[in-house]
Amino acid sequence: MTRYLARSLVGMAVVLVAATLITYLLIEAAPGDPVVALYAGNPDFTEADIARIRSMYGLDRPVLLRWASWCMGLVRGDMGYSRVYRLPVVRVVRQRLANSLVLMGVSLMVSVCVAVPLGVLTAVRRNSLVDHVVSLMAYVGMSAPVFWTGLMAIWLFSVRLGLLPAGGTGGSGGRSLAGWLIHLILPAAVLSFFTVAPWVRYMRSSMLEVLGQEYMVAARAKGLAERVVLFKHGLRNAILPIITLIGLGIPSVVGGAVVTETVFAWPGMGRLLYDSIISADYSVAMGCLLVLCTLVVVSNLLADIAYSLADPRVRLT
Amino acid sequence: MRRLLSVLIVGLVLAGVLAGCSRPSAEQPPKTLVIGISQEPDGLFTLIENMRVAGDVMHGFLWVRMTELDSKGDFAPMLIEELPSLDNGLIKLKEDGTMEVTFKFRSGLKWADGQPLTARDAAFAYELVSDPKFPVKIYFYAPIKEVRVLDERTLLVTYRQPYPFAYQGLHVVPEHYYRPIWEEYKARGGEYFKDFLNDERVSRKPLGNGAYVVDEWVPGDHITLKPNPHFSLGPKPQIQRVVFRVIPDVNTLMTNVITGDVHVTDGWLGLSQAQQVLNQAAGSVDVRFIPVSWFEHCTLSLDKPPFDDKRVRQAVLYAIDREKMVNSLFGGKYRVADSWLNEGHYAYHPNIKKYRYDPDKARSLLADAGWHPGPDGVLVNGKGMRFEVDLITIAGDATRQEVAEFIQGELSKVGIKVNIKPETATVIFSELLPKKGPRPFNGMVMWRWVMRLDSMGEIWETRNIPSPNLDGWSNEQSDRILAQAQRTMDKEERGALLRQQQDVFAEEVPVIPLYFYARVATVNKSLAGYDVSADAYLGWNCWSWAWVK
Repeated sequence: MTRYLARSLVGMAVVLVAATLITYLLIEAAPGDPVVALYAGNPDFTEADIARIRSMYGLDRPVLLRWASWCMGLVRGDMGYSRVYRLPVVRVVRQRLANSLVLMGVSLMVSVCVAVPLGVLTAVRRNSLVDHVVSLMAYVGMSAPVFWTGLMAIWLFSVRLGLLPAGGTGGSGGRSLAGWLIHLILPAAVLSFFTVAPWVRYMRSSMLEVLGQEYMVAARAKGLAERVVLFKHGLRNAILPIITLIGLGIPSVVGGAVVTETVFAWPGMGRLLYDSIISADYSVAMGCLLVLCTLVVVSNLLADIAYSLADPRVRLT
Repeated sequence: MRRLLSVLIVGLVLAGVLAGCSRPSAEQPPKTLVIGISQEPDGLFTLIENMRVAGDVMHGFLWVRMTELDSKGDFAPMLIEELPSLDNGLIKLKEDGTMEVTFKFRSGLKWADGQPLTARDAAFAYELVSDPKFPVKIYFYAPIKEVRVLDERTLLVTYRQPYPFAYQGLHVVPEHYYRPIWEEYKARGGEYFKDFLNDERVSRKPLGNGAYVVDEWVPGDHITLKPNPHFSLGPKPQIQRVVFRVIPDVNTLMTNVITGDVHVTDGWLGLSQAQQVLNQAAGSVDVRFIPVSWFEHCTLSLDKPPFDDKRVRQAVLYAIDREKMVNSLFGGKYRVADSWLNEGHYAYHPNIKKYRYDPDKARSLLADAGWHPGPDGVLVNGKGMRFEVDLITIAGDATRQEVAEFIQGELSKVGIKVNIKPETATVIFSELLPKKGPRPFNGMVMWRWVMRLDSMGEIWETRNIPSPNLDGWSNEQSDRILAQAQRTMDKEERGALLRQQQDVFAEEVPVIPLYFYARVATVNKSLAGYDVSADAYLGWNCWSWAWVK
């Protein structure tokens, strides 16, 4: 296990360095000059000004040199300055990452708590009314665009019923835990809806496969209670693919919730990454991508470890 | 598992109940004023204003300049006793061709820390702006030759030549507070001005002279303001807390306007969202459509056929039914543009040559220019060239896509084939428009100018190609008139000259003018005193805002 971890960590470092280089080069290759675009048409600007600003931001140096100095800064914990926020990138990203992790944590928890039991239930009661209703909902969840579901949820709960706030983190209304939780409900619920939908289907088919195994028959033949058969022998085997899914899902929930974050005005990582690319705030974009890359490799590692815990046959060496 | 689920359900129900309790009831006006913004300012230091939203948060709320625009589009003396003019003797034209302007400051002015505000603070602002490392250039400061402090309340500014906008846009910066910070960065060297602006005391929590000061700024979420205890320009603000909430999605912003969570928006909602607010919350929200000088138009590749021929350009304008365009796409709220200045401007030209929809005239002009229908209906000229051009729009902009399709349909009726090509804004504003030499596109680029009230046609001058003359028009007659207008002190005379230039513009059709926008503002009816206008900043009179009793 220790050896495995050590090897993984080295591998992760290599992957991260390569990923930053590739993203750096990709950003460099994006068409258009952000400095020119920023000031074009401003009558107060001359070409000399633009050249001055380019050198002020160090944009006149070769790209590999810039990447190297970015990496050096990173070692010191310095990811540069955000052009848009006039704040250190570390500070901008930290705040957004916290928001994203909270939203992700809550929605993942809700998703697991809902998807796993529902998946088991629909597998056990195959072709029953419950199965059909849940399957239908799952298909709706997978097909409906998130911005639509989000807006409909806001329309129903905020505009019609007046129960929940229409977006934001509640931070502007003074800091209170209750206010913050209330603002979390809608985005977390909508985000969960989208993860629950496919997970229920995976869980169901995985459970169905396990239910047909001979060891299930053997367990029943031993005279074990149905609950023990299902949860100890069935679920533990059926949940393995779901662990992989969750592991893969963590980074996408953090970085890919752009639409949810936008609709609910929830300032998270996805929105930050999107905005930073649109506004050519590339130091922030690099910071976001680094965090997301790290999340990908870390959550893969976590999934491996969780796998070995759930399935004693898997040994990490 | 079952226990976890029940805990979760109880939690959700509890949170729901709490939510129910926390909603403000309709009878009691909320104490915090919430202003919705879709973009976030990039800083709040008076000298740097790259974004309109930064101006909306700064002016009135945090900073007040020597003069500010009011809702009538006039400059009001804020820190000075009266506007300088030739008549009151505060502007003097000197024999050596320079111009001297005297500014008399009011007495008793204070900064937010209680220190006195004097003419020295205006001189300090000039010193900062004139620093070689100052990152942007401020238009109003460019013609200044020298600034002298005569006494605590008198400032003498010398301009290199007669300059009609002498009293506009001059800043004050508290010298007692910022000089030590600035000197410290300057002593460190390098890009010291950038470092100065990145200092939290400068761009994020500035010390100003507006009605409020920044209490808290959470990036991506909100900016909270509290009253300035030493505000000296008017009554103490009645509203005790102002929050600028960042809501990037306009539909979410609209929902917050409808639910009453956001009291004021200005310039963010589109026409369709405005209609939604009218449908659902007309009782509690005022929706206003303000005609603004945002000039939507198509830049043409003037350096090559077919658009190097004036008759072709006129024909294109005749061939597009722009009345129908603004009526069908914008509910008649936008106005057809006949020139580059609209109604609010003093040099607006009501009698300019107008190109009303006339496809027959378009066809005959095209025939005059040598374009005749080919076998597939598309025009060809004597050299066998087909009239096929690109129409480049900003990618992802649904409205411009619709406008582009409309133009495509109209021009196909006269035999012009238009291919719509979306490009990112970065490409358009760095690769296509501001490039020297031949135009890197063949056809039209659709975008908008935001015309300033003090605009004197710099964007049409040959000397300003490629930037700011992004449209690349070069015309000797227009250049001559503009140069004359820029030196004319009298507003009426200057207006007449600018109208003359617009006649040249209308005859030459250097761009395809489309329409002027209307900006949408929403104001909750529980708020009084908010005076919205085309040019003034949102908070220009914010200290007189109040909740309706």
